Amino acid sequence: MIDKHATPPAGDKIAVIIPARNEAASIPSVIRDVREHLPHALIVIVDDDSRDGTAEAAETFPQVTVLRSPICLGIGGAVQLGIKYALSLGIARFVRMDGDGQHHAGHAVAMLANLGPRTLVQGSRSPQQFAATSNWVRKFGSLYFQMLFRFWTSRRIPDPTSGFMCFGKDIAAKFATSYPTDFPEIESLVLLIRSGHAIIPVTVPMEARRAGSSSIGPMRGLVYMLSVSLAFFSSFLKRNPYGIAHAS
Amino acid sequence: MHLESIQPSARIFFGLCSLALLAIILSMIRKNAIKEKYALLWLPLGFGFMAMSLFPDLLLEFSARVHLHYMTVAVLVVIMVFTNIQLYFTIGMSQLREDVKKLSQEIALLRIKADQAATETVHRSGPEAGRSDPAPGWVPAGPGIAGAAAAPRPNLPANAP
Repeated sequence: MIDKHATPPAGDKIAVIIPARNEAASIPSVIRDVREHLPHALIVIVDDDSRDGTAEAAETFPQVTVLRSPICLGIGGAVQLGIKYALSLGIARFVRMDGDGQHHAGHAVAMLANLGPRTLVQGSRSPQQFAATSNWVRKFGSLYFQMLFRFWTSRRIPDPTSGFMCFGKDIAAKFATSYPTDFPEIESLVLLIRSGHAIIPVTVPMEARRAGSSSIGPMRGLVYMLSVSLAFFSSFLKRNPYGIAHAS
Repeated sequence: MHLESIQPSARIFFGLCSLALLAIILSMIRKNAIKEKYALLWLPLGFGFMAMSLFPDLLLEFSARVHLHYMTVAVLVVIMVFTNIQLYFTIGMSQLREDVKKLSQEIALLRIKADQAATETVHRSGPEAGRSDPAPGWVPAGPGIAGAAAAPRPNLPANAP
């Protein structure tokens, strides 16, 4: 189904940005996975002030760039840091995946194939998959956000909370100037849609976490839903940092 | 409740509290522990409290002037004033957090550039100085890379030693 060794077009460099906070147990296998499926990609691990030696575990790999933040930036700040770094190297295409082994680099190849200008390709779990890998808070939250997207942006976003995505230079430059800090996925999608970008969902299987604990427990899940809802609606109030949609 | 009914004991307590507040504010300003703009906010408040405890008639005069005759209304006004001050602080804190985030990202970027420059220097001055084959950068010369044959050395700065 997926050609593992599809050759990327010449001069079209890929950066795989992996934010990691206390993922020392899973980060080596994630790096090996990316190496295998995207052998030409620049791997950027953003260590978000981990306490368990995540950065050291990643640095044992010779061709991996490990960015260390002196303080905890939050997931959004970490992703943004990785994007800033890759942009400074002139990277053209960006893959963002988790450091806990949920996302498989092999699927990023299929996602990259769908990448066009002004598009963000989001790796989405199928509903069955989602049910298998999530607790009830996440399931409810996901349904709720799907509904928000359908009503307010008339787009179908099958897995709005997924952090598995790829995008090009245009979107990366926008993320570098402004990216939400705590729960960035949904808010950034809304802002992108409103500034005329397309979100292309590609169905990919995802694993349950290999190690560590999710950043979203039941109580935090509630906070997540409330603050993302606020971010969702406030995005209609404030000036869109990603610009206004062009009629096309 | 009328303000004429302030008890002497309450006056003393209020007076001591405002004295302590004023002392803390002044010592903070002296030690440069609070920024001028916050000192400008707190100093009039401290002196205001002090004046009111020294001369309670001022309070009565003030309440008569602004037609504040009921305690509930006075409390509401006080709460609103302090809520506004807190809002002002929240704005400052959000701005600070954004600033700290940007600075930390900048530090991480500088750190990696410094590390890469250091390893590059080691390579250049080491025994292998002047070798022509590219050291393993981020692009391994894998069989599939299209641009690799034409350009053996990845033309990215900094990262490839």
